Amino acid sequence: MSEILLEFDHVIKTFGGVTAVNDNTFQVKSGQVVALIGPNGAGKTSTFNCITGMYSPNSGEIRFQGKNIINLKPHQIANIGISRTFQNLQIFNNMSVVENVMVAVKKHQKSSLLSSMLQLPSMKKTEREVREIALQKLELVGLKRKAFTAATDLSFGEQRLLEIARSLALNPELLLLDEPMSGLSGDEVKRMVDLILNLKESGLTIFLIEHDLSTVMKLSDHVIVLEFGSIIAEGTPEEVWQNERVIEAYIGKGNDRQYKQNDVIQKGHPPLLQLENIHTYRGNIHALKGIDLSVHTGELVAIIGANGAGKSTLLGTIAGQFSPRQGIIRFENDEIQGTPAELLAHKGMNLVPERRGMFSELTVEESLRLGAFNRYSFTGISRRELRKINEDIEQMYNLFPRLRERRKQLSGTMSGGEQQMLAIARGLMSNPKLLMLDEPSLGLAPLIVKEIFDTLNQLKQMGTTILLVEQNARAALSLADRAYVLENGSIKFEGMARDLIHDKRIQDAYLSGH
Amino acid sequence: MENRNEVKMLPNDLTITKRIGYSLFVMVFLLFAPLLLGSYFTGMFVLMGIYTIAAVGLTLLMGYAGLVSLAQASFWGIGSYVTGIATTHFEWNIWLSIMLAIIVSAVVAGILGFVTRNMEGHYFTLATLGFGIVLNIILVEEGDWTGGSSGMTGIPSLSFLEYSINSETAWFYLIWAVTILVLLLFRNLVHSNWGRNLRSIHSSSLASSAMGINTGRFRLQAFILSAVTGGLSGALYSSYMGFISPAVFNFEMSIKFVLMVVVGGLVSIWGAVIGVVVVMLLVEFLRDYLPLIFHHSSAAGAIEIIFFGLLLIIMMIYMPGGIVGAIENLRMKWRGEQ
Amino acid sequence: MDITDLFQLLFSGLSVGGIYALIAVGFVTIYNVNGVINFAQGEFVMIAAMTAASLVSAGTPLWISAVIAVIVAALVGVLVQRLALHPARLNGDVVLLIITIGVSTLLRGLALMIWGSNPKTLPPFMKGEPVNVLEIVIPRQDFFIAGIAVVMMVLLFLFFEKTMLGSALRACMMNREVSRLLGIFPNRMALLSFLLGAALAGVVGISVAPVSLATYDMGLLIGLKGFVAAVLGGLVSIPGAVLGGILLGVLESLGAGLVSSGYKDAIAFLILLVVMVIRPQGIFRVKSGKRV
Repeated sequence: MSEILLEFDHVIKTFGGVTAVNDNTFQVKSGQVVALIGPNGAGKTSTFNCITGMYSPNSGEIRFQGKNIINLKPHQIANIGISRTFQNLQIFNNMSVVENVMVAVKKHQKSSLLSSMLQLPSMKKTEREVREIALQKLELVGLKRKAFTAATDLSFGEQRLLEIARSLALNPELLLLDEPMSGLSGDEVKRMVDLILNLKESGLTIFLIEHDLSTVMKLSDHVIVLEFGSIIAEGTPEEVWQNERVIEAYIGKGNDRQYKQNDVIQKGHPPLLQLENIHTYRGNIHALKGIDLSVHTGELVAIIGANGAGKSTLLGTIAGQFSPRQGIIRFENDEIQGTPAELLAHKGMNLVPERRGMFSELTVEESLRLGAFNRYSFTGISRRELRKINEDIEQMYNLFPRLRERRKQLSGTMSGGEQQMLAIARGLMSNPKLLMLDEPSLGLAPLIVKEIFDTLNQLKQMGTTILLVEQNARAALSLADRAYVLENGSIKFEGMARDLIHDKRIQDAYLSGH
Repeated sequence: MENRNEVKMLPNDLTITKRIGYSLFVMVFLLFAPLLLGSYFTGMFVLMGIYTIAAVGLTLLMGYAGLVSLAQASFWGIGSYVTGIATTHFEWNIWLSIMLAIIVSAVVAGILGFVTRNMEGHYFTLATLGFGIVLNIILVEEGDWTGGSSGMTGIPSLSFLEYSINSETAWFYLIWAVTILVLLLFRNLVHSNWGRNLRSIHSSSLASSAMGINTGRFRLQAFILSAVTGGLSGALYSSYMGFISPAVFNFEMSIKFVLMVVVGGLVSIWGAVIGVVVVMLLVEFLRDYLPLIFHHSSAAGAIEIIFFGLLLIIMMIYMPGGIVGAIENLRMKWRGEQ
Repeated sequence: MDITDLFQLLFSGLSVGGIYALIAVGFVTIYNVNGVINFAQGEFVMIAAMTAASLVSAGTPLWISAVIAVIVAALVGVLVQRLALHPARLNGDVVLLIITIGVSTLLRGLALMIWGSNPKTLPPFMKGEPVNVLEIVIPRQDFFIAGIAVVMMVLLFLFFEKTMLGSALRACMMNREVSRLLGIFPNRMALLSFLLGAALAGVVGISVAPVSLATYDMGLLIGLKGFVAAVLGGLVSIPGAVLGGILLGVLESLGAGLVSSGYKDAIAFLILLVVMVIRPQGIFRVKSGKRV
């Protein structure tokens, strides 16, 4: 049995009312590749931030090589041998590639300001050595030929590799990788897997966050599964793979409700929303690669797919948050691609954003009224419309009785489920022709999810047109009429929801990723 | 600052021969400048050299550490007043007084910098503004030492043994020797690992602390260095002018330093020289020609301030990389087309 | 110092605090919508004070001059947002900050050109002998200042809490992206924030001008104090800014009794540094976690 390198001992970290890390205990053994997995918002990055000193836990101990490191500053932790990469890349974009790596090489400890100013020969010599080391690290990840280009000119995948090279330059004992595969193409993922295995071969201990289970299976010796901040399973990849709870955490539990689903695509009318060959870029990432999609009036359409498949980018592109580089979006026969979100909101489109987008210092009632902002005009508002808005608020309280109880409460102080209800109600207040929901089940307990899906069903029966993005595929498919499965920025397949629900390909799309 | 005009600092920007060529040209110009310029412009170039010293430090702070300081004139003032007080009240040797001025600036900056080491950009800037205001109050209130609002006179000129430096020409050579020395030292510094670490903090302090860099320490050092250049520049200024008053070290002067640095370009130490020269020449030009347009001379001071403000706004909107940044962009474009 | 002196200082502290609070609210509103600390906030105060003073000396009735002065300040605010900040809104934080420094310099220069460097006076809105309440002597203009502050607070409360536009502005301050999804135009909110911030500063200008003289460079100090008040309140919340302003006013007024009056203006800066060291997130704000 190899020795324990890192020990996480009853660590708790809370933010306001949210528990990001819930009294967790686990170990990372020397020389292994350990994976930390779990759905969005499970507390994976928070765990990393606790280890690297970016968060200070409320209680508990984190021991590295037997020493408690809980009170150390991030730079001190880096210097005792824990190095990390970031999920949202943190490249030094004002430098060349090799300089990025040189920052992390610790050979200058003794050099003073004065010797830097005078450029003493010893300085120059160390500087040359540092550059050599940096180039070696770049060679290790296959970036040496790009060493002298500007870091910003690298592709997204190369920037991920650069971050790893930079972390390696610290000569760490333990390397933390935060979603190293996300945003990478199939080939790049293969290269990354090989790189990680090589690093392991060279004796480095690696602790990684990853949502793509198939890579996790290939790579790891040990897997830890988080949900809602707590560890729900732990073991070898095979053990975890068999664990029904883990699969549920990922694709969601089947809903025992039988919702009424339409099985015919409405024809005759042109669709309310139509996308043709939409390509969207986010920074360097080609996030959407030619999406075709349509939604008819009265339909509930679901878009499902694993984390990082491009679901939120898709909704954001439709709602006007991102401009597509290519393609056409038609909404009620108008071409709307590139129209800013605030204008689309006035055209009858509403997006309930991921993570609910609360205005935390507005009360429930203020938030609802603000949802009807598009119904006010700058010249004022008619008495009739105002009465109508008040009636609609009443109706929202009937739909979500819990909101009525909390009408005067600040929305930031409510529970996640209540916030989600408020977010949906706020979206409905705009009288949207199309309501888009981005992961309404994110971070919510199964019972609340059921309640929210019941309400969505109610809305659907009332004739609301809904485009739903969900990671919780089973629940979404039990509710939707039609569904699209998104994988790596493209639509893999589509069909009637009730046919897809038993489709084996869904599980593959989630668990095997690329 | 993630601006689009940020220049990539890559090796091999200039070939060695070109570099030697440029330096030779500058040196020849500096050698013969006093002969060509006449004493008025020679005096102006002395002031340019003095301003450049302070501007270099501010460039380090603003361009490399990403911190906007509105206290550069205050450190300039500290340098001047320490020199003035040491030479007139205690009759110290002028060189010793300048050393003391540098040390005092560093210590004050150390304290202020320690307190503000974790402040985000906006907070830091306003803290430096507050510091400047307080310093000005002190200069006026402590009249026994500082001469109050009427200032101090009789600060001795620099001297080597018996020879006192009096002529504009002598000052010109001395100041530019010091200026070039400071420029070279700072150029070395920003190209060393120290400068690299500072730039990394500017780009992502999160990543640099994850790479083992004590971000607070580097910011503090950068602030102290910028204060030292301010102090040195102020000390030289007081000796050159022989007279100082609090009105010189006010907020307007801090803005002027920021303007010079911004006009030259935040991305390179050399931006400081270019900014100082361009701004000073522009001001000179305005002084000569604006009265012809406006007829009454009392507006001249106001027009200078208006000009500073407008120039800052226009530069930031259309040329956030300053002159150096713009040249760099043009060069890249030209290279790209080849 | 006996108890009546203390009360006297307290009262003047409260009324001055009200003034700081109004500037701080402007800072906070502009900061949260535009993402920049507006260095020119104090210059809006100055513009209103100078405009009012010169209108009065030209023979315009006091109250009409005051109203015009506030409108002028608000218009200048709107122009600043449109002409200086809007074109550079994508250029990054440091650039925006330097632009507001430039705006502040420009406005000061314009004021110097138009009005010269001589101080100007504005007659007090409330004339007559100081009032004697329980042996505490209070100048009448202090009542006016306190009254204006209270009236403005009530108006602000009504605007932010009871009107749709106020809610929209608050929403945009809290979460710009999501507010867009509701159909709120961020550009219009940016303009509105400057309109509001500059108008508040304008009100401050006409209330303080009768007490302390109006000069072209009065904006620096009063702007800095408004900022300190905003920082005390945590820089994100409007109630926090109001409390911060009042706290600063009281502390400054009490502190001024202890040090020589020349150093009175240094107190605000000391408070700023102390707060930065002890509680950088402000006194009235709970620090929240940041997502990495």
